[in-house]
Amino acid sequence: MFPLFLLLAAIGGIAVSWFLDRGRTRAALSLAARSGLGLLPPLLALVALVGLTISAVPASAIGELFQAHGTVGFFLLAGLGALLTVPAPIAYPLAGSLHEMGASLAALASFITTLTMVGILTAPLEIKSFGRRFTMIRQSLSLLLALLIGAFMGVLL
Amino acid sequence: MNPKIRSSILVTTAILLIHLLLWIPFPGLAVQSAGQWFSGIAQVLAIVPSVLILIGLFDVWVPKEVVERGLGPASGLRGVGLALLLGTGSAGPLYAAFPIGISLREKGARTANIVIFLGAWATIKIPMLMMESAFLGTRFAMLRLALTLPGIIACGFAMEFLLDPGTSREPLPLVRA
Repeated sequence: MFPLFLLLAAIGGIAVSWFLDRGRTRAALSLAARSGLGLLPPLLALVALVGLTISAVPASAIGELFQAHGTVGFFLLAGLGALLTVPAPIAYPLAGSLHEMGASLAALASFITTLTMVGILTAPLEIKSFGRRFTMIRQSLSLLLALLIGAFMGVLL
Repeated sequence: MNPKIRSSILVTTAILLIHLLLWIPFPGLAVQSAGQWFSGIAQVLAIVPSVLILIGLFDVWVPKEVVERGLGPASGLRGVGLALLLGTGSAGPLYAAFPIGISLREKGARTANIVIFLGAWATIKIPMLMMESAFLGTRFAMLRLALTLPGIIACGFAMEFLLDPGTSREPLPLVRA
């Protein structure tokens, strides 16, 4: 649904832009092609790494690891979330099934936050975009934020 | 041949080779992982080209001054709001946000607003709140949102202070608003 909407927006944009100014439209398209080709190699590798990790570590094994409530499970989940970055629509069902397997809600709050915001596997892509310093500071701050959110949720829930 | 195309082919060959080697001891794992890879690539190809075209159009049509006024050093609280709105209004994985962030930065958006945009894109999604409530409870979703929102904004300004202290010496948006 969303990709289709994006595609329609892109096609509509090209059409309007082409009607207004062909030269600028050509410049926009070549800009898009150039940045796309630059993104392709790290994206290919990233998707493969994520696929391999998801296949090698089944969700049930992860669940068993976190059946024990408490600090160990809390940090394990936050750390695991920091390794991978997945889109939110994948993160929520995963967190839901982990909850059914016995992981605590506080741990899952920091898990979801690190899962979506911190990604050691996507770091190379971010470094390519914004530089090493930006990436390292953003990811460390996000990790800290995730742990704080988890701790607060533990107190409040 | 274009060096970028060549490195894409190189990476693809390496991935296929790794899966082939993996297939000898663990055929099931290799097949599953390769399947994940193909569907992952399909997902990427469904989203990324359209995003890049829209960014290209944005680059040639939107003047630098507009972005600078909306998200730049003098944009204040409204800039923070705009960055949050841009992030939450969109879907797709975080890596799709990186090129948008670069383009915003090149057009003069301040670091705090770029970080807020990335954070909002990653973890606050208004439509996704319903999904989070369904899987983990409404109380959980609302509480996490209430904690994440100020956290992301704080992260943005902390990063700006660490990366380019010059901008942060200007009054905080709260002071200005």
